[in-house]
Amino acid sequence: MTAPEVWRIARENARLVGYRCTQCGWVAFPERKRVCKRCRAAPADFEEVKLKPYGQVLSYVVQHRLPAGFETPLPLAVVELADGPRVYGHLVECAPEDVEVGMEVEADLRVMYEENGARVYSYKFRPRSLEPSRGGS
Amino acid sequence: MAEGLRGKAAIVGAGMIRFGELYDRSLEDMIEGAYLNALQSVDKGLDPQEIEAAWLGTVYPVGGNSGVVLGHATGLFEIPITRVENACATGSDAFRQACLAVASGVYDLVLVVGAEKMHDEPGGLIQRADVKKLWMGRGVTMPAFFGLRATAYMEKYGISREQIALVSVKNHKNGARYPYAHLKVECSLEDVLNASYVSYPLGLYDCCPVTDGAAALLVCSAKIAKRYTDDPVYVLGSGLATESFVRGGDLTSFPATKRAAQQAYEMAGITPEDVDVAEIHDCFSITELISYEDLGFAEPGRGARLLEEGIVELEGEKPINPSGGLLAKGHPLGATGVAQLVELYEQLRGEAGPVQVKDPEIALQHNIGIGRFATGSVGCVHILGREP
Ligand SMILES: [Zn+2]
Repeated sequence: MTAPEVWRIARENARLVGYRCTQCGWVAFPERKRVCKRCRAAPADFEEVKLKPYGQVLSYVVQHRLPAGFETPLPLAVVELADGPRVYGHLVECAPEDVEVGMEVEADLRVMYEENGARVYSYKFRPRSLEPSRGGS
Repeated sequence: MAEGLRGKAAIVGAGMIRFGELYDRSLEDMIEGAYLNALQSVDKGLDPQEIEAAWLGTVYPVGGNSGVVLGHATGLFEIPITRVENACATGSDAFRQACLAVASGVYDLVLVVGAEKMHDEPGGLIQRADVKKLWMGRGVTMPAFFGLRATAYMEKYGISREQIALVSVKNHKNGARYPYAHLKVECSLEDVLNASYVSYPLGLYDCCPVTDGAAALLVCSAKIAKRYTDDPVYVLGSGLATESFVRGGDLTSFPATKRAAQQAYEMAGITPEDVDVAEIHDCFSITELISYEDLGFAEPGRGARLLEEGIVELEGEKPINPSGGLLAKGHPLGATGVAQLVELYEQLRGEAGPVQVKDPEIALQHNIGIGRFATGSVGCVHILGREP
């Protein structure tokens, strides 16, 4: 995304802020909406939600063919965050063969790419079950 | 309630060029070829001067984002030409717009062309995946979008890779016989299973090739169809819908297809059982399997049974993708929907040669598109019949 595009969702992206439709419960993320995509309320009444930084893998693939800028094989998932929003996310700290549908994952702030020399941060996902051997991560 | 389309528009001419890696033909050369073939297919002849309006379905803006390219390719200047774009459902939507225009009574005879030049730029669609896109489609290729459905579908219904692979085997078998197909090679179940992964669980043979092509249809008011042929093909129903998985629901179906099919069945006044032959969007093997269910040909999770029992084979009760589908024929984005309709026009008129199915009366065409950084989809369905 270009700098203005990143800037427009800077708050939602960095702080995991969503907006819940008070009529149907759908949560807009990472965008601020005035109409609801699920129930069509227009204008809808949205309340701000601080999203919990974890969720579940709804489905996944392992990407073997990608343009330059990615390392393959790359596990890629549709993650449903605990508060409802669905996002695409790259899975890290997890071997491709260990990914499962329904797996609990947590969001982890990472450098996604560089644009005009500036690092653009956002979240990747790693397995949530913290094993004792992994210590204080 | 609105009247709908049934019996108001008819196809009286259809033509396409053989799909493939057509390095020797420009976008305009391909359009010209499809247009001439469509004109020459009209039984009682048709003078290009009679064409009152035209729609061009194309996704990549070769020569600019307008319909003017079609004027250059066909000489049809001075009449309205509109370029339509709706992801991979572009060609179907161009046809839909033409049908609506004819049904409204504004025009009597119009042209629809779908065309795509995929090979003038290197790399194919994978190279177009977003690298810099937060939260939405970053690293999401088309194989990934559909692979995510495959994983969810296998998990929910306990379906195996082998069962999904049967789609590729069937379609390549048909495509090997279809005169306009890009890939005329059969493949075995082992070929599909042993191919390298593109986006696990989908491998090379689960994916359609990168293809150039063009297809054209002549559409007229049903009232004057017999002027051009004794065997017109009538448009019975048309539906189009959009959806997004961010709204909810599981990932084992395409709700846009379901809605579009509902609209089209209702308009046509038929049920899925009435469909004799269908061209279904099989950009990937899993897409066809899921679409059997979305279109009402099988219960959720039971689509593979149609393949295992031979029901959807060329000689089966409900042949699906006699052309080899997108997997074998190829998927030149804007051309795809129009080419599906060209094939069904020939099927309904008994002119499909080596892939002709037995005496079809009603045909269904289905086309899917993906948009908005791979978070939204378009579904389009048309129903055609020998009688209005
Ligand atoms: Zn709502």
